[in-house]
Amino acid sequence: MLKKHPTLLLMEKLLQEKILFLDGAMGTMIQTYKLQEADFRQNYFESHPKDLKGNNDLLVFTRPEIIKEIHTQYLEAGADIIETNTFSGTKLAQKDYDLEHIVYDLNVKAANLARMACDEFMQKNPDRKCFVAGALGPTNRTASLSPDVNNPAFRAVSFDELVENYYQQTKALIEGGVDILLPETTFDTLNLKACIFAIEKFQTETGIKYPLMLSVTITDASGRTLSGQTVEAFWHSVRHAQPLSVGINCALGAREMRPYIEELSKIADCYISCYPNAGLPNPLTPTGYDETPLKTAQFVAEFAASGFINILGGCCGTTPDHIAAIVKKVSLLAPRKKMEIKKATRLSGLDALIIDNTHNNPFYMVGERTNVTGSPLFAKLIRANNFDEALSVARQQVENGANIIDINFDEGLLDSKACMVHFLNLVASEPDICRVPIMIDSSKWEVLEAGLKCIQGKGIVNSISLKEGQEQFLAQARLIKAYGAAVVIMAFDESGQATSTEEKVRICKRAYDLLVEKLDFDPTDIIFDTNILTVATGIEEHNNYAVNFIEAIAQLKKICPGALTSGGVSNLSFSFRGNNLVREAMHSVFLYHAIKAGLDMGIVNAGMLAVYDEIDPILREKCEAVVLNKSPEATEELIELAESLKGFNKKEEKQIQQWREQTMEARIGHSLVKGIDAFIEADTEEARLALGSPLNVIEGPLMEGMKIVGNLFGEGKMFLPQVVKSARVMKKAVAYLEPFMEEEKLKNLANARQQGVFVIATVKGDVHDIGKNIVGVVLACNGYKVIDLGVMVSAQKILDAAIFHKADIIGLSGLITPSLDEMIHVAKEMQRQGFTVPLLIGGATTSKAHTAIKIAQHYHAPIAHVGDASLVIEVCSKLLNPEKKEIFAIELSALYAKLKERHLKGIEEKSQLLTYQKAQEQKVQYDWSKIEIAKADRQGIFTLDFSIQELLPYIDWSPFFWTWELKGSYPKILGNEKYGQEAQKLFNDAQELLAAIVKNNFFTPKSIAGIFSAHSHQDDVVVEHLQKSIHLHFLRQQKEKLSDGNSTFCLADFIAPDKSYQDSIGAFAVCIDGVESLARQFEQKHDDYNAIMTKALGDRLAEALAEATHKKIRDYYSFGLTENLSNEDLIKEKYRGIRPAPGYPACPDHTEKKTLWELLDVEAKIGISLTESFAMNPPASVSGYYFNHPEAQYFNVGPIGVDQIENYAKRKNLSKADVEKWLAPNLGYEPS
Amino acid sequence: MNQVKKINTIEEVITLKGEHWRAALHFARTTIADRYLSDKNLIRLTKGNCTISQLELMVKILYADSKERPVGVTGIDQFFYVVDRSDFNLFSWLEAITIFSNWLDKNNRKSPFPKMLGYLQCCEDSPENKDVTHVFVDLVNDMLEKHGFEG
Repeated sequence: MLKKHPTLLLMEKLLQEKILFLDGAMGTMIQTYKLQEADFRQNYFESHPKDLKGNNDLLVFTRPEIIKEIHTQYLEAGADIIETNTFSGTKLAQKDYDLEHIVYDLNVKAANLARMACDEFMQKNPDRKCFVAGALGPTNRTASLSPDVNNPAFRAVSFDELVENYYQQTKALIEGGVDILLPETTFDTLNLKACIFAIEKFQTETGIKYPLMLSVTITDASGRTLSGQTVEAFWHSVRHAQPLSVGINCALGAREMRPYIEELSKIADCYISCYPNAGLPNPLTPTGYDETPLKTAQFVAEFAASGFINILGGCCGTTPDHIAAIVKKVSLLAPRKKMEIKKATRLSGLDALIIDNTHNNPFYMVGERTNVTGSPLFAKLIRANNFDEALSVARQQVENGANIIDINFDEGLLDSKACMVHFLNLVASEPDICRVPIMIDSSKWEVLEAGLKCIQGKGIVNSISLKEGQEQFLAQARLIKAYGAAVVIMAFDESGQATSTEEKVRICKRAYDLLVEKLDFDPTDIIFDTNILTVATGIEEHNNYAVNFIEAIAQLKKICPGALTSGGVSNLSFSFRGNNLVREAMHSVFLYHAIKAGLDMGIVNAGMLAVYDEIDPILREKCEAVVLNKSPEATEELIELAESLKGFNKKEEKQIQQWREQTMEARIGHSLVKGIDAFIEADTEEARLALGSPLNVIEGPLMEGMKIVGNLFGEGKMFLPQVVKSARVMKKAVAYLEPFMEEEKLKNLANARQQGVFVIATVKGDVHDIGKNIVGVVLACNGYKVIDLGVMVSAQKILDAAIFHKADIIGLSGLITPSLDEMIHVAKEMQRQGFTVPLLIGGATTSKAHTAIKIAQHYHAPIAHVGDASLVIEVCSKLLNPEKKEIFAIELSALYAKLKERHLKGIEEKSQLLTYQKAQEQKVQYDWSKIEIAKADRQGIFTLDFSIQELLPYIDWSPFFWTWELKGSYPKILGNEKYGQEAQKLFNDAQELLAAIVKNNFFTPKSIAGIFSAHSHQDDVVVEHLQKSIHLHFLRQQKEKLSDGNSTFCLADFIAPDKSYQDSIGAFAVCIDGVESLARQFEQKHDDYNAIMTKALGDRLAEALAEATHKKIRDYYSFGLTENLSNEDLIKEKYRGIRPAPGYPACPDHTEKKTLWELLDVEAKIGISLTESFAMNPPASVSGYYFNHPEAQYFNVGPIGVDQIENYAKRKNLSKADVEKWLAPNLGYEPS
Repeated sequence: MNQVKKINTIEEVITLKGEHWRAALHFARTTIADRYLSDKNLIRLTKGNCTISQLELMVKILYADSKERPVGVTGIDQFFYVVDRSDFNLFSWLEAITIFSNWLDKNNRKSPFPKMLGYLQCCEDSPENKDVTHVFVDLVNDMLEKHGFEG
């Protein structure tokens, strides 16, 4: 036990009697002295190589009289406590100035100075008792946040480093004579926990408990710290420090701080401090803040009058005048009474969790699936280094109601400690997961301790026990207390695991007494796990295990006040693994009885617990007999019942039964809305017989059902994958009815109810059609007759079809940039041939602006751009509705005029470019003799073999969801509040199709790549191949840069300029063969859903093949062999080198593909052809170059000037007009 | 294509832009610590057509940002990084920040600077902004009008 320092005793007494006053700002006061660089150097740092102005802590050496003067001014203003000028007095903070070595002396000196000011003042004013608080700033690093957005697991500082820094500062401050330790401005609670740990270490060494004041910063109106915690969660995290006071300072003015101070004053069982800024920042004032002393005083006086406060002061912008005004207004008010808080277990993640032990509290669920020993899925993901997806397991647990999540990496083949640290760091970046407390689960102490150093909240250690004896048990418990965590105590001791009730109770009570008596451990931080052991194993002595557990917790709740009870529930039913129905029922029955006996929490699969009352009565009875060991036959009887229930999904069966009992119309509607095709033919037949004709079925229940689908989609309540599934059901029903319609010759009548005829095509030169197909499905769902002409359709063919089918609207689609020109051509032809039907423009490269500026002028009937399939119906109905179409046409014209005007103004803005010559001069300069030029172990052209199976780990799933208009990134999208469920279904369907593709070899990956000697020549790369020099032409950025060291980029810069460096460049082309034919098969079966799915998977696999091919090429360069990258890392391209593709931002000229094709002989070798617009066919193709320079990076060429265009035309031997046509999106000027 | 004269000191900025800039630059220099806005970056901010009110707004924003995020990459470095990777020039960005800031004020809202930059980057990445040239503030206005801001 520590002995209280006399100052602590004195302060406790004073704080009961009155409100104490802290000083105000130091930094903003120093600012008023308008110090120069010399002031920060004199006599001490004259020749220091770095600028020191702004390093205010140094002034205790160089201008001590200023610091002392400020201290004295505050004391004279009425402050009882002054703070040392040591906010940045740690090695970490001084590292920015290369002054780590002065830190100890700095703190001693600053403490001396404040002590001197304080003592001199008290000598002159013997009636005043004043104190010096040693200020410990938060440092400039965050222990629970990554400064690198691309690497959320990264930490710029470790817990141990912080402990070392704070220990040194604490020691120096005490040596210098401070009375109080004041870690303040805490923006990351983990930093503060490290500081508390360091102070505790110092206090343990000295045997003295010093007055400790803690102060947190709430950054904004969200009421959270920068690291995301609420005030209450913060308090739970640091309460173990048993501080003299806790409070809030900085970032906010008093007015904004009020709700958080009020909250803190109601939950903290120590004194409360508050030192706000002088209002919010206002740079127009000398101190940067403009709240007057009177105003600040009025606000804080109201806090005091409300009984929130024990210590008041000021932070940024406050001056001695502020403190004087506060003292004047507040000194006569009574202090807040320190209060007792209710006994409860207080935990936290980003949010607080209170488990009230004294009442019948609810059962708390600890999510068990983030445990490699209990969840095969989680274990598989971790073994595959797929931490991102492993996070989704944690997220699912929280979403399913887990109050706490248990995390365990105890597996022989894993580096458990590294996994724990990495995963906890990742969890810390996911607010939807880390809002709940963490249970760090391991049988290894080093893993537990490493985990404790990662969590800012108050977590739980799972577990320690008396297995290795009392000494080790107490040593570990002491550290757990210092880290500020609760602990699970297993019913284990030197003689082994307790199985009987008596042993469980004996061991736990012994542990409880040791903790409370020897370590003053808070009983509410103790959680007993008395071992839930497996029952129904066939071994007789196991039959009473559940009963023993239940009895033990009932007794422990009585004899160990404050402590909680817990257990790993899944163990109970281990003998029934594979039979979830029985396992869930057993767990529910067990919990029903254990909770009644006093079980507070359990480690369970959150979301997989059956409701006790809803368990089948027979099953419940059998489970109860086993759990409560009611008869010797109980196990046998449950096993027998379990056999008959294997594979039975009761819930699903019940649901199907329910909707199948509805009317025929309701059933058809249900099938359409839910996309279920299993019963549609039977229901359609029933409808045909009931309604008398197939047309009545289409116009009746089928159209009614689709109307619901259309409405739900329009309202954003259904998502594209669901709509496409509905369309599949509809198509199946119509296909079933078609022979009957033929028979009755009613087909023409069937068209009578259609909304209109829509002719749609992907334009000539382009092969991409996923978006077009989706639009077609949406239109068909809404009653349009869709004539889909396919891909690469010439203008004339489109127009002929429009005439033949009497089109009401024509729709054009395209993915690649050159398709935009073809769309202009179609519009011109429509004008020339006298068309008047509206034209719709869509596809990934199209835009409203392009439609307005480049297309609309060529065709005088309405032209509308549709950026999203969900908008197409609204646009079409406006275009075809006689009452609305004229107004809509006027609206479109007005919009286009506005966009055109904006475009012209935009060109003026973009014209500020560097000259091409200047841009070349500003290119990045490499010292090539120092660059490590990668050398491949081979050169030439290689055809590479991969199986689809091999590509699966390389798939980047996010774009797959975008295809279906589900925005978000994988795997987070699966947990999306709005459409996560649909995303999951879509993903499951994709997995199913993918499995079939792999099993049946539907797809064949084809890959070709080459490595060639190369050197750069200005902005070209000259490739040496088969004794020929081939020029690859690249473009250079011309936009002027602002940041230091930001040069203009051109891909050629990444290749050495001279042959002697023996540099090389790579090139590749890959495709997935078989996609189109499989999609066609689905289309023939009226299954648009799987047809679109096939193409979307084809695209993903092509990208995966590009990734896999790149990996192989990096291996040829040897640097790939040492990579250890997860799929996520690959998606983020964390490897050396880049693979830009012609037509994309770093090399936007599509025509360069022609050279690439000749170089690799792509068409002959792997069958990818180029269209006249340089689109690759088959569409599931990717091509590009490899640049291996260690600093190679992607960039956007952006706007370029006419001078570069002329130069480029010359290099490529093309006309300027040709180049301007292909590079239209990059022109920084309007071509003449 | 403009050839920009190299300016090295604040005095040179005043010579180039006029004496009426002195107060604004002095205000900037005395408000924000060097670490959060060095002379070099202050001079860069005044480049091109930057107006006094735009400079003052940036100083206000950067000052608040330095208080909210005292550690890590500074607001000005983040800003220049974003501008350098954008097709739009510094002036367009300053205009866009002004529009966005006015919108926030009008709606009685506040936003951390990094979030403001993120939002403006999204405006530049808008599906509308490709193949034809746009004025940045138009894209920002469109985005604010259509989607608002939820930061």
